[in-house]
Amino acid sequence: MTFHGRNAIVTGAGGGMGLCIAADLIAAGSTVTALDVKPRPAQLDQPACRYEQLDVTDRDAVQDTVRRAHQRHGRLDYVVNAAGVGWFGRDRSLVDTEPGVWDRVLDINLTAAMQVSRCSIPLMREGGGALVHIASVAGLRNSDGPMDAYQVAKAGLISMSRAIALSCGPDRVRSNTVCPGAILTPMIEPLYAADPARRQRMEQRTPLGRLGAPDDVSAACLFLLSDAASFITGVDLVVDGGWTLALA
Amino acid sequence: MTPPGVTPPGQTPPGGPALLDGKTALITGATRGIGRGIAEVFAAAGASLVLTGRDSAAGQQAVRAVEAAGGKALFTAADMLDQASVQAAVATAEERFGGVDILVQNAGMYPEVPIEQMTAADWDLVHSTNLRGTFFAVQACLPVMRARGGGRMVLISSITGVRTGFPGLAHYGATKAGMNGFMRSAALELAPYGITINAIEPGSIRTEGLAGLGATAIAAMEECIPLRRLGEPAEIGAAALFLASGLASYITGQSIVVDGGQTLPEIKQ
Repeated sequence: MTFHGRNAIVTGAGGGMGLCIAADLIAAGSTVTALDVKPRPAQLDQPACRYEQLDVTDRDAVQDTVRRAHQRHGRLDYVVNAAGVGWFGRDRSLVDTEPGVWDRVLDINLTAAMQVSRCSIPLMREGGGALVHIASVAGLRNSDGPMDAYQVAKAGLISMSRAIALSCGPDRVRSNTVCPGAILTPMIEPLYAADPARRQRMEQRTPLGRLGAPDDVSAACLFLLSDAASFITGVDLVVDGGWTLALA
Repeated sequence: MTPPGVTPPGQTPPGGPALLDGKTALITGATRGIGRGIAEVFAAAGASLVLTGRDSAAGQQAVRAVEAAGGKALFTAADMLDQASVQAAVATAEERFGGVDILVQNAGMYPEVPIEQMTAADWDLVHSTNLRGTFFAVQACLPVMRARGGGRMVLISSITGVRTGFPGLAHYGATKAGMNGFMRSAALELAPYGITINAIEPGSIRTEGLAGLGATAIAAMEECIPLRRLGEPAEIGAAALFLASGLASYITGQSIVVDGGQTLPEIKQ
């Protein structure tokens, strides 16, 4: 799995899984254009990374950034859609969720990934390429919350990935998702800090006995991007320590 | 909770030739086709291999091919119908290489017969080989891996039976769906021992069996695959390598379809 001479776009690279993926791609030899609304993490302050601080729902900014990422290196090989939000408390059962919250969660978690993909895919067609979308086991089952907007957005991401896989396969563009379970990221850390029993419950409910790390998700993502997965497209790789196997 | 002896994710550069350095892998049905492709990929990744099959001549050939590429392998004859021979293969791995870290349960058969003509013996042979054989292999490796504090099991299933059907392969499809069902419960039983178990569902892979269909039939198959080509045994090997490595330490009970997108269309293309 070498990424030398390859060029990638990673959204949500300002922290958590997206940051881990961007850093691992760079370590494996790729150049990376990193997008996030958050400021640049120190870890991405390196020559192989171009950091663009922007709102992924800003369509014009995304289109411009994707075009320049391609221009800078004369190629675009990979797209990782890792930008996403889980708005615990505000995103609840759809009956109790403000319509504005619903719209915004769908915009960030799904429509932004569509815009990044639709701008990128035509630029990947010359040499082929691969996309990985960071979805969630919530997109395959139900979220623990309830967190309906999040769950529906992730299910949409999974379906979008399959649509890309089918229509872009003949151009040697592959598309897959990684569906993480309970991963310890900055998105969820405050929740566990406020409720340590919840964290313990999650660990105990996970057959492999631990929460996942961003590294676990990144390893699966890099595998699916790499040439090692050259015949894999349209799949959803669950990385959850066995969590969704067992009945709760 | 990464099993001892398995590098935690993030501490190894992803991929690379040394992903299985120091590991011993038992690969069943490794004399030809997908099994042999997996063997070659694993050997290149640094694993010591114990290859099994029924055809000793083909097995020795596979060993020589691995050795010629600088790998380490031995062949031991085993028949998935015979539980003792499967257990003996594990014992051989312990004697020669000190244990088993990885099992790839690949041995299987796919004789075509319509349900109208299928006999109980046809049904039993395919079930005993593919499904009961999977149980034998997993059970035989379990104590050895448990004693080592962990391990990786990879089952070679199929899209047929799990996701799609194929006329004449009803018995085969039932065994492959059965393998995935077996895997999910096994994942829960094995997790406390640090053993993961996952499956791969190959689609249309360029093997000796498939080449026999002829160029016209293969071209028609390629048209139905979004990536517009058949898969290679080495591509199944690459997926098995990922699941067998430390990179997949948080993945268990899952099945990865490796079919170039063939099962994606709503209708046959």
